[in-house]
Amino acid sequence: MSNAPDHSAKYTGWLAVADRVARALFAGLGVAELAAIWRGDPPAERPNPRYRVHVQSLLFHIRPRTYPAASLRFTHTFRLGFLTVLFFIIEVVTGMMLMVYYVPSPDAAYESIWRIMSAVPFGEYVRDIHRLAAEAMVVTCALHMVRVFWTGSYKQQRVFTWITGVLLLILTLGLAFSGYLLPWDQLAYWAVTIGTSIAGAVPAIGPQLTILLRGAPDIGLDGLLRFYLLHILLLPTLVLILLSVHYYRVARIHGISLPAWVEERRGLPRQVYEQAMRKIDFLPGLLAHEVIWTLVVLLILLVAAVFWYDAPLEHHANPLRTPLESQAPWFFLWVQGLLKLGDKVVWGVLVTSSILAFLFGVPYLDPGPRRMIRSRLAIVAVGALLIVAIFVLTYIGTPRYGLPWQPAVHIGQELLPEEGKGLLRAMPFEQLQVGYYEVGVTEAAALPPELGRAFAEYARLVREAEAQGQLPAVRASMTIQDHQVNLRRVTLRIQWLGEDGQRNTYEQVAYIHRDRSAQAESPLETR
Amino acid sequence: MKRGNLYLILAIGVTLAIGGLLSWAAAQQEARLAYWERIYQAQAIENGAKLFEANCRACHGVRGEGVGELGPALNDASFFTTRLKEIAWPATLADYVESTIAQGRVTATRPLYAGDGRVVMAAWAQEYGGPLRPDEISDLAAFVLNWEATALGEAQLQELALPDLDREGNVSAGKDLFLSAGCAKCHTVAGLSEGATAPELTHIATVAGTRRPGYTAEDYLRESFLIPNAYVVEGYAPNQGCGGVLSESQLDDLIAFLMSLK
Repeated sequence: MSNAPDHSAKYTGWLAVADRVARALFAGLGVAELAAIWRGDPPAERPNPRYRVHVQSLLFHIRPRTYPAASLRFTHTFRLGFLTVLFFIIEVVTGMMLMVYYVPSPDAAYESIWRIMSAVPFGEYVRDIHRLAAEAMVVTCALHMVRVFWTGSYKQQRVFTWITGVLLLILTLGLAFSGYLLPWDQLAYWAVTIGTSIAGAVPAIGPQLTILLRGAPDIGLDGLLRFYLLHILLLPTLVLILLSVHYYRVARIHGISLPAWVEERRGLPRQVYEQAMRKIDFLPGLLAHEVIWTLVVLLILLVAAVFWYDAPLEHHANPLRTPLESQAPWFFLWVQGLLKLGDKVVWGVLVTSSILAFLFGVPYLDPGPRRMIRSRLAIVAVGALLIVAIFVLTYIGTPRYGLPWQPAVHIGQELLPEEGKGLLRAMPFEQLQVGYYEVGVTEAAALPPELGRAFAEYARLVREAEAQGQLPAVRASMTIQDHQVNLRRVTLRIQWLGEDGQRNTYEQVAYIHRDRSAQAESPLETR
Repeated sequence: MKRGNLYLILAIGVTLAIGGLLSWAAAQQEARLAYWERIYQAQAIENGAKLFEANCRACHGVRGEGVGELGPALNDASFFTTRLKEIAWPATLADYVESTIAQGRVTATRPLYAGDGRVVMAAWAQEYGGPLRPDEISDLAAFVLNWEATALGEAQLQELALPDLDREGNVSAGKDLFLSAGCAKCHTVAGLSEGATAPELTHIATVAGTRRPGYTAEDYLRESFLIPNAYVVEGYAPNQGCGGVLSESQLDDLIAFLMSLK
């Protein structure tokens, strides 16, 4: 600092004070320099103070002073690495807000989430954004890897950076998965139960591994605390360390990769090459670019949280009641799909670990220096195949695929699902008119309009199952009773003739409160 | 337009949009929090209703009307107005309901349901060896307290006369049970069984309603199964009890059968 020329000397009076304050605040950038940045002029002093910032400020010293123009093309990076880090920062900030209210105990966790929703101003939105940004982070992280793979940016100096990237992807999935359990609702409990049961397929140490994760044969107090500590302490710390290594290498060792056609510049006109390689200063243009991206992402998240997205919260976790449709978190559905294909050890463990080994092995399987896709068709084909396979397996993993269920249960779920609205909750409370209605006897047209539509759909599903021979000689009814003030009891009863000539009965009962019907948002009717 | 100016306009625009959105959301917060609170309460009442149906109705009645001497009514006015005074409970009715469900009762709180050292109501909290989690107990309490409006006459429920579903099936299952579960050894039903050590049941559906004042025939039968010696017909020895080995649906079947013996 003492060696730097004293540019403040040319100012007197309050301008000199302003200049000193500016230099203190902006790591050496004086009033004249800030004005030059504002106008888009070249640097006003020598040595270039916009580079000096990169020496003197902690935050800026991490960033390169200049980037080659071609490496910044939007269609080359799609800003995916930047977005992943941005989402991570949003997760840390919103996560710390949630930690103030969250209690990691099976007796209190679910209540504390409800408290965040119903007693903490903006708590609902903080939770929505935390959830949305987490899923977005999984997506951008995976896409970032696809981009790096596609552009061949994992070679030579970048081999180790790729390895840290694969580790970061695993950590990101771990963060998303460990966070899944914390609300302690049915969705969380069973998704994580299924997820951790996959670990049980590992030969020899499977059961021990499951116990290590769950803290007991079933997830309980110990399991929740383990996932909580993984989620807020261990995994974020590991991400910070690996992210530092990852970014240090990008910023200081090899930079963002150039597009292959620039780097391998065969037959590229000199002018085009020089244009592609011209230096772009980080300050001020790139910083402004990043600030804009940050603001836009924040706005999108906020709009989504306020107007569209409600982070799911189902009923309290019940270890004794398996939901009809339990599934792993969406980013692990492909593993559930694999497990449906057959043997747990072969499909669940061998295949997943070979996929992982492939990801780690990419730079070693394709060690040559050439980056154009036509020079490495084999590995790109394998990668593309893997991506297609992940999508197909994800579909196989959904409950829609390959799990036959009883038609009567299916019909019950359409009208009164365990979680979510279903046909009967989707109508105003008044339309749930008290009465006994039987398929083939009651006229749907005689009912209030929305109840009539739901009943007609019920009748259609019953008749369809009958026509397909699934419910022979079926008799189906819907009973709506007034149970308490603002509470109605709905009974669906389906009887059919079984193969043994016995009458089978499926009965589903649900209670619907006025505030959990379609009228929820209108003020409570006075008694 | 220069890129710098574009950025500037964008940044100011997006910042204003974020600020505006946050201010708008801030103005909605009170209503929004109240909305989630209502949903939470509604869910608690729904859950409580299911839990009540599964665990409580055998003694407190399907609609909380109470069953004989088994369990007091929870849906009448006195429960909401005088109960706490009778037993000098110092806190709220919600506390009373929750702690009763959680810990059960060794002695009863009203003379009619006199405790004689037997456990009158079992403890239901997992903490005390019962089956229910803490959240389930507060859900149940929310449901029980929701009877207040109808108990105090502030609201009326719509009655629904249900068609007699499946009574035949229940009656024949009850008949099978009557023969196989041991009833037939002691009770006489003309044309079906002969026994001398217990009252004759040939016309029990008619007789049952006359035995105890204020009891319907069904209530009387149900109580006879669950508390066999609540009433002993003159000239017969107290009963050893047999209702305990039957499931709830078997009990329904047997009562349906007995109610068919007009």
